[in-house]
Amino acid sequence: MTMNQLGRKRLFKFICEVDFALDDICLYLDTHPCDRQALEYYHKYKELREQALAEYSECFGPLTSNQVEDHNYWTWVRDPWPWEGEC
Amino acid sequence: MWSYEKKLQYPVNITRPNPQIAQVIISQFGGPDGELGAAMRYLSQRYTIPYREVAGCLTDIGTEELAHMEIISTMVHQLTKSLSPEEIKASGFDKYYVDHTLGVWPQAAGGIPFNACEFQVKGDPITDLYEDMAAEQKARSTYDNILRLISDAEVCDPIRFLREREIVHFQRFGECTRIVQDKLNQKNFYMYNPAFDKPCSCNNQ
Repeated sequence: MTMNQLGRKRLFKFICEVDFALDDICLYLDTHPCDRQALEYYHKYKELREQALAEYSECFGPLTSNQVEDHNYWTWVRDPWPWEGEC
Repeated sequence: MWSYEKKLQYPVNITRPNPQIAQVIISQFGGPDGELGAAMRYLSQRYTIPYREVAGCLTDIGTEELAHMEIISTMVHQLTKSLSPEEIKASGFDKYYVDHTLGVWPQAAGGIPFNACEFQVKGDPITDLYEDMAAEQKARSTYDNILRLISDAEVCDPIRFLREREIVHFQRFGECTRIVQDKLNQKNFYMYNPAFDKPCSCNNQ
């Protein structure tokens, strides 16, 4: 595995972990909307997510269709889909 | 509306196809306590819920169930990838294969197709939330049953993740039920449907 692929896997795993933390805290906040500690946790992970997503799409390609930067090719359909076992 | 993220909520990398296991876990795609039914149940129930916290919970848990449906479908796909006609016959996968080839179609393990009668939208928040809590427990039991039948670590790992999420969702629906009951108790009303018996909206809590 090249350094580049290793970096991609590591960053992808980090995004998945941060996203899961957000998925879970969002459900908690739905029923505890006044919990300031939970809101702090949410804001911390939201920022981590935004940074990591921006870095990933810049280096390795889009994870959402609005992250396509290329003007010559629709890169959204270039990389593997999640069910292909790459993710 | 929804937008798609090109990743699974939990990773699935199954390197050893096994159509027998696929036929069991497909129940959590289109079976009576599966993820498709769960997503449709919560996303359909939310419209008449007069409390915004509860509508939020139904929206977000319903959305997560779509991600779980994708995890299960991915597992079925990877467990049945590149099978030969001989392997299909020997594993008993032929009855599925004849109608769907290696496509992923929502059905129960016994072959019964998915249908909307597997869930209810009663339009009464207390009634619907009790169904939702029961649904999470039934799905958890199904995952327990699956874990008793399989030992392949590549399959067990995402199944354990999904099982844990049923427990968290059960907890959140319990909190939703408390929220609805507290709001009813404020006016000392008991045999009353807050979604129907009185003009009620999110602004009129």
